[in-house]
Amino acid sequence: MRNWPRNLKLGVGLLIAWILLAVFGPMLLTGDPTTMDLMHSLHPPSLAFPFGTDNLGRGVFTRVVYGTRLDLQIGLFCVVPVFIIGTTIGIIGGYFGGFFDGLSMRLADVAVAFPFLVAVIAIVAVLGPGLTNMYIAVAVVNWVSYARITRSEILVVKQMDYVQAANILGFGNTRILARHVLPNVITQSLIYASSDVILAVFTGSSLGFLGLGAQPPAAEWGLIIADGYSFVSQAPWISAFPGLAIVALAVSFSLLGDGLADVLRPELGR
Amino acid sequence: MSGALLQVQGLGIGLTRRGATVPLVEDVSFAVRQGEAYGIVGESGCGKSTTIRAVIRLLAARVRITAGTVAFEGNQLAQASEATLRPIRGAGIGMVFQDPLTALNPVITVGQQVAEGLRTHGKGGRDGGRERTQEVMRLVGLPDPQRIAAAYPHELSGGQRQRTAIAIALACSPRLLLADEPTTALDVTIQAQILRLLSDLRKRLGMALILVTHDLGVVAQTCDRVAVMYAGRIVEEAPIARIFKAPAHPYTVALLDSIPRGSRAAHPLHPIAGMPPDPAQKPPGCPFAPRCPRRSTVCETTFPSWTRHSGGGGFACYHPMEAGHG
Amino acid sequence: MAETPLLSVQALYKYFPLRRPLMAALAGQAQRRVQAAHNVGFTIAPRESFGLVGESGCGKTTLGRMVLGLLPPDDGVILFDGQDIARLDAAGKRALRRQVQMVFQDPYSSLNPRMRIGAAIAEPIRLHGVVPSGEVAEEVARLLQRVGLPASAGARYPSELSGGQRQRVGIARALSLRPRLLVADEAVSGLDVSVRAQVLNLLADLRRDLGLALMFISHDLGVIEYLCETVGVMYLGTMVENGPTAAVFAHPAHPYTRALLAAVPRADPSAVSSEAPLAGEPPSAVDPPSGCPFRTRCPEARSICETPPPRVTLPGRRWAACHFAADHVQ
Repeated sequence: MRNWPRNLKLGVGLLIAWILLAVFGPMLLTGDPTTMDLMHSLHPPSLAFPFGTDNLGRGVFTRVVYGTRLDLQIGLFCVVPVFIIGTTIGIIGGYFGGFFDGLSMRLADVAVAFPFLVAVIAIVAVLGPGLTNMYIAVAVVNWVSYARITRSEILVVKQMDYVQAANILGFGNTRILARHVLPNVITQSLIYASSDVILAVFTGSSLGFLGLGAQPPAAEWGLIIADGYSFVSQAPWISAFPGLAIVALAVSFSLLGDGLADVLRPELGR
Repeated sequence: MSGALLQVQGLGIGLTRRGATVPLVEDVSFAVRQGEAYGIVGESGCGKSTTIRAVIRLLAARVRITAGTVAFEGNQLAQASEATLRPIRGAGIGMVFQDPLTALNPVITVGQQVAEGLRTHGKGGRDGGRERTQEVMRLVGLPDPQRIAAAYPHELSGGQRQRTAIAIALACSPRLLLADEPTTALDVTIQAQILRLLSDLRKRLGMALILVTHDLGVVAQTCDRVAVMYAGRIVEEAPIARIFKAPAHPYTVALLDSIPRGSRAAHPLHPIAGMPPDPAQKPPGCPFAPRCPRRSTVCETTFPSWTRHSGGGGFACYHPMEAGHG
Repeated sequence: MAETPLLSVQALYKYFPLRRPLMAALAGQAQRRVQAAHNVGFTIAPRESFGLVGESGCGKTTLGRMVLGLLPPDDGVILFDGQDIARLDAAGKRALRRQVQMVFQDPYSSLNPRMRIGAAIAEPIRLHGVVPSGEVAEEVARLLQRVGLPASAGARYPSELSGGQRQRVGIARALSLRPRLLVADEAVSGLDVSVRAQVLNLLADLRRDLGLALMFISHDLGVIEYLCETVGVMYLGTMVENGPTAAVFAHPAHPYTRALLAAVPRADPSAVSSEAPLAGEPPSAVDPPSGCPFRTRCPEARSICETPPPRVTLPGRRWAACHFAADHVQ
């Protein structure tokens, strides 16, 4: 760990801070993120309400802290299943080729024929609003990135002499894949995944904002921004603070991704 | 040396990395006369390519000249501005690289690439360019120049590509041609053709040639004089016959002894152990000392001064081979 | 012949179909193909070192891959120890793996960058049960020492080694299964002169000490002459000459062998060749010339060369595929 580059140390540190905030933050707060208090609506930031209050008198600070839980969960659920599915498809297609490879790559072409957000919105619109359906929609579209990254890496590694050597030494396919191919192709996907979390949170927030993701009164950053949208001129703090939270989270993951890239793929240069 | 076309004196080249400068080439001096074929031979990483690239200042990023001078026909090049260098590159000094495919632009026809150099240096007007292009292409032995002029680099064979690269380098009749491993990527029968071509052209055009190679055979067949480089330094320089007959530096001997000359039973090789040092961790003194069978304590502390050969050239060694070795 | 050959390659054919544009296929144009092996035959005796020499695209690498069982021939037989390798069952294939091993050209890409040297050598030993599992570490140390590396190299990653050291690791790994035939494809081409000589001597010593047979594929005639007792010369997918290296190199029977030898720049300035180099370039292997493939460049070509040349047997266990082979060695 001591040899980690600075961006990785910072990224990991910030990520741990976010997780601690998501787990323990709500416990330390006295307020409730959904209880309305119309007496205190649209208060500017103060000691009692550090981020001010929204039109229904809910503390924006409380809601943003609770939102951390939801938005980290969105990041996780949007990326991990997709990472596993996409990488597996890419590995099988890239290594063995043939019909499966052709089929999966044609499906990939279809999946990316539409802009990412448009495709997700269209699928959610069909399935109905809600987080679960959003996860499904993201999975349907986003596996493609992982499958393509892994596949293109495999096509290179497959031709490397050490994979040929493993063949000549009489190793089985499973062993070659697990020991010689996978460790050399997975890094690119991992690096991509850490920055993909940012995209996932943005997607979650965008859909929340559009009313297709998390449903009110849930404390989700995109939703909070949407709440504040009508009051932007009178009470800009409602939208500004969750917006800042999104940016801060994005910076954390982006540092993490950069750091991972430096450590895992030193050949890309520092 | 008077009458030298190119005079390199005390050349030092360094790579800047994390604030520190790693020496790639140290105190290299040599002179090339008009019409002469000069070889620079050594193993990978010895600085031979870096040295000739420095002559026309085609150095990689973060690599720069740290000491010494390069004079071509009296023009100082080592610290010259790009504007000063431009007319000299191409018109005064041409260059041929190892890999002709990457040295040629893939989206421009071969003929246009030859003509481009002519135009840049204002040789032969609009239509004269075309004539001169075909003339140069015939000169380098490209069959059917009209057809080949219309082709793209990938449509040509490796040998034809290298001929094209030579044609481009020759388009403006340079007085000096730098060739960096020009035949290493080619098959042996094509290599023989290209080496023959370079020799013929040099004699016909009265042009000097600096040939950088790892292959002592190529040097023997092509060059008049040769410098042997090791770990960034010239360790020996001599007329070609002397290097092969009476090498003075133990590294030259080691190189010669590493070339197979028959079956193992008849001519066993006795290679020196070890490998060249990492430029960043060069030992003090003579860089060859750790591998040298003739080293003494002084070799490990101080780089030897230059001793002149009687018939030109010289060597940098405290314990040279006795005359008549080999 | 005193011994039955370890490897016997008989009438081997291999063509690679070229990708045919859809329109060409619809128009009924014939499938074009690259000739990689055309009626190739040779044998390697136990403990023999056989050199396969030729220029790029002559099919020598494809031949090596077929011998290793990585690529099936279109036609012909490859017998290893008398057994047809195309007809082996799974167990037989596994056994063949242990008997025939390979050393690669590029020491940088032939080792898994994420595996320590020791682990890379131990893996095949463990998998094939070459020694009892308690003795694997010892065996790895022994192999490292055998190829001239310190035992401490086992703890290193490939990126920490030089090209020559990696090539030694590649050799140790190939030896780990105690093969009887080692196929080396341009195994010293990527190495510097002084390191190349070290690895050449290592290969020669190993062959002598372990009783290995060697199939040494190279474009470098000097290296072949140094290491190999017998040689096969390839041109455009055909073997044009075969025999003891010393005899073939001293008195080549095929004009291509002679041209190849003449083209090697000799490290001797007093022997600057005045002979004009062989003109032209090898024709495309897609549509090789009929008859003798070399006739388009051969200074001696006559009209008879348009018919396929016979395999002319010559004294001293050699042959050449040239109509005039017998005249050349007189």
